[in-house]
Amino acid sequence: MISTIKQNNFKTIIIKILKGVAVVLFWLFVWEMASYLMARDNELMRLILPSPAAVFKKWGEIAFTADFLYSVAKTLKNVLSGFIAGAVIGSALGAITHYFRIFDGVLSPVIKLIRAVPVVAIIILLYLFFKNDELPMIIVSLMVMPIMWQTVYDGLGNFNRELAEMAAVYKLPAAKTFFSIKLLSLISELLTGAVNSLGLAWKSGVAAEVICLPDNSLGTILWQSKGNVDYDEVYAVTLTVIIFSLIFEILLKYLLKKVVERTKYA
Amino acid sequence: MLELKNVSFSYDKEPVLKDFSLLVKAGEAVCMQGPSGCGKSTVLKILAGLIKADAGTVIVPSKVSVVFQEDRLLPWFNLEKNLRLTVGDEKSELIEKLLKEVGLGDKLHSKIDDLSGGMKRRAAICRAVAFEGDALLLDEPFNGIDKENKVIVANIIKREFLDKGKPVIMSSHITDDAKLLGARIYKFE
Repeated sequence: MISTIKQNNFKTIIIKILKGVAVVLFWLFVWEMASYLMARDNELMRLILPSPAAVFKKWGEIAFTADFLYSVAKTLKNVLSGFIAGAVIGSALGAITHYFRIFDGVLSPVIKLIRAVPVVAIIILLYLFFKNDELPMIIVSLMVMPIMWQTVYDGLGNFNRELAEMAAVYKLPAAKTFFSIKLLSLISELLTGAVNSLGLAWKSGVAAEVICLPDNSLGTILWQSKGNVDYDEVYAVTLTVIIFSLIFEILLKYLLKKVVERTKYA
Repeated sequence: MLELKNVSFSYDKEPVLKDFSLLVKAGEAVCMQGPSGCGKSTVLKILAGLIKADAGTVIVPSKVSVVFQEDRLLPWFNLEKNLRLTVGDEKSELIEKLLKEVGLGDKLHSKIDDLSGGMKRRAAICRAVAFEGDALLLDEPFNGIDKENKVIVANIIKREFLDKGKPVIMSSHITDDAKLLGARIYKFE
């Protein structure tokens, strides 16, 4: 019985992997066909949409060089430090504005403004005030902050009324109610908010690097490759950003799943 | 004792209680019965301090134990942690004793989601008992509990509240459940 269950689980995993591989192969095929069709009448079009093989070849050439790895590390630092700063500040502001409405009135318009203004406009405006190396991290934190602020603000506002009544009746201190009940009830929303904002963090971080060109970053390489009409490299760098974005999304989901499990079974 | 004197309460201008009066003496159990929406849960909420009466006088001890209609256990903690969080770590021995008494001694470290409905109900009652309030409020307390365990739970309530002179008020459609506590029936019109 147990071996049958294990066999079924193994089978399910294999099927899942095969489906994933099939999807990837499908889109690689679509990409290859698009590149072929574009270049059919004009070989120069291959510069603009190189084939998957050309991109992977280029990626293989650059990905493991010291300079490229240094650039990857720099961009990782920009994105992750901005993400963490934005998540912490946004979450704190969400809690503060929930409990102290006067701050809500003052800060809400600012948060809404940040969300409404196109990220490129914010990058260009802040470029006047910050150095090249500082700006990507600041942009990332500004993009992440409103999402986490809204997540915590809404989560605390939608706090389960029944659990609130239970806490009141059993006279739980405010700190215990917040940390043991409210915060933990928010975990799944925080996870969703964090995963959503991580994708935006990558996009805005690399976009900021492309505009303000800090030394030795992936965004700078993207810009230089475009200038050199080396689109194989443009796609290869973009592929690197996608890979790391996916890796960190998976890691974040796994980490927060463990946190949820630990707090659930404490 | 628990007393409501000429209490009125409305939800969104819809009257639920009008000049309602009820006395539960020390060591007495009263079971409220009546159709849905007649105000049984409202009475319990007023006594629990969760809502304020629009008019009238409410006499209730400052510390009351409550068994809600829902279990209201936290799914992210195990059973033992749930009870220790709400009644205090210093009562861990009492918690363990009560859980063993209701047949949940081996479920101390179980996830809440792994417990049956009846087990969660018993756990919620143990929580209320361990809290050692000066009165006990019960909203459909025996729902989902089998006959044998109902007797065990009722005996615990009698021992920890009624025999100690503390009043107990409950709402239940089932008269047999009221009889388990020797409760006087109060029928809403």
